[in-house]
Amino acid sequence: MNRILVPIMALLAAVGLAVSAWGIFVVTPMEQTLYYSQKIFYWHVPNATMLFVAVFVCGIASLVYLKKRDARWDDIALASGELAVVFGAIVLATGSIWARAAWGHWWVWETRLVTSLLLWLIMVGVVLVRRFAGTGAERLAAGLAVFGMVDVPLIYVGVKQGDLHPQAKVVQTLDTGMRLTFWLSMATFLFLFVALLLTRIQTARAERQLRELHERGLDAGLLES
Amino acid sequence: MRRLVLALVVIVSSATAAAAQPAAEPPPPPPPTATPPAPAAPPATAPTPTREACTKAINETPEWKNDLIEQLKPQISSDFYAKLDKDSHDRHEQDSILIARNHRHVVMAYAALWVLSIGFLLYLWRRQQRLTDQIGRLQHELEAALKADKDRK
Repeated sequence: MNRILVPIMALLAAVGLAVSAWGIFVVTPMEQTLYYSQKIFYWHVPNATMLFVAVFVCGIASLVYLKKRDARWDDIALASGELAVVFGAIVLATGSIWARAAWGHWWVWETRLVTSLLLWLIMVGVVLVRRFAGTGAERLAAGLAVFGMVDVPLIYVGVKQGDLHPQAKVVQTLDTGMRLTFWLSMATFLFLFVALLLTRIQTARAERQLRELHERGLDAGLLES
Repeated sequence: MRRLVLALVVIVSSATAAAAQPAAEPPPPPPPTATPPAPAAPPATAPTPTREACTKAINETPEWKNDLIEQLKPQISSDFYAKLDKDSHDRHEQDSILIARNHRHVVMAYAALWVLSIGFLLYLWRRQQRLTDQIGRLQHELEAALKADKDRK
């Protein structure tokens, strides 16, 4: 299944990236408040959405892993945790550059930005714990991932009316061309997310199976440590 | 001679009379405005004895000084603010061009996105390579172990 799904998703993502880039820089009109820097929006928001999706997948997989102790869920949690770190880094980097262009500051200590940074740091913590904490790291990382998942609603609830960061409802006010390009970018990053997630899950699963085989080989006396 | 003396007397008397005339009434001061006072401008010319005498006379007569300031203020202010307006207009113009054609930040943002994405893809690719190597090594070790086992038997 993955052998077909990953290339299809990757192909759709590649085509989507090309078409949405064309839409962003050729089709969409110039926004009249932020002007050219608004072009960052089209890939910044889908990346933020994929960060939230990755955190949710990681949190839910961690919860199931904690309940069932099935290593396959741990593979999913690990893969989505790493993706959350990557998408989070992209969101923070592009957001910071956009903030510099629009507000004149690289960083502003306001609710949405701080909670997003906190979420990213939690996910970095999940990946680091999973990698370096030794025995029982899976359970520790799973607990941390659930804690990270709780932060996602706070990012929405915590935004106040007077905050600098625009609210999610801004999408509804967009011009038709802008809205189409935005949703195309959103679909593109979803395809990319699925392709990367499946690939990383496969790798994590193969690594685990290899580790288990190695241990069995050692136990059977076929291998030397 | 008599004519010359008469002419001199007429000139001197008219000059004295002119000098003795009271100064013309200064125009009423303009109504106070909300604009802040203009900063003191540096002297436009080099100090001369006449200028020093005038400055001394002005400073000794505060009413006259105030009258002069009031008369000059509108002109100084309008010049100053006209220049300021032009400067800020030019600055705003430059800023608006910069904002409208802000390619630098857009390029930076998209570059950051691509660098991070490609970095992650490279990380995935390296992991896959390492995995392939490990599988190959394990396969080799297992074959060697099986062969040794067969030889022993």
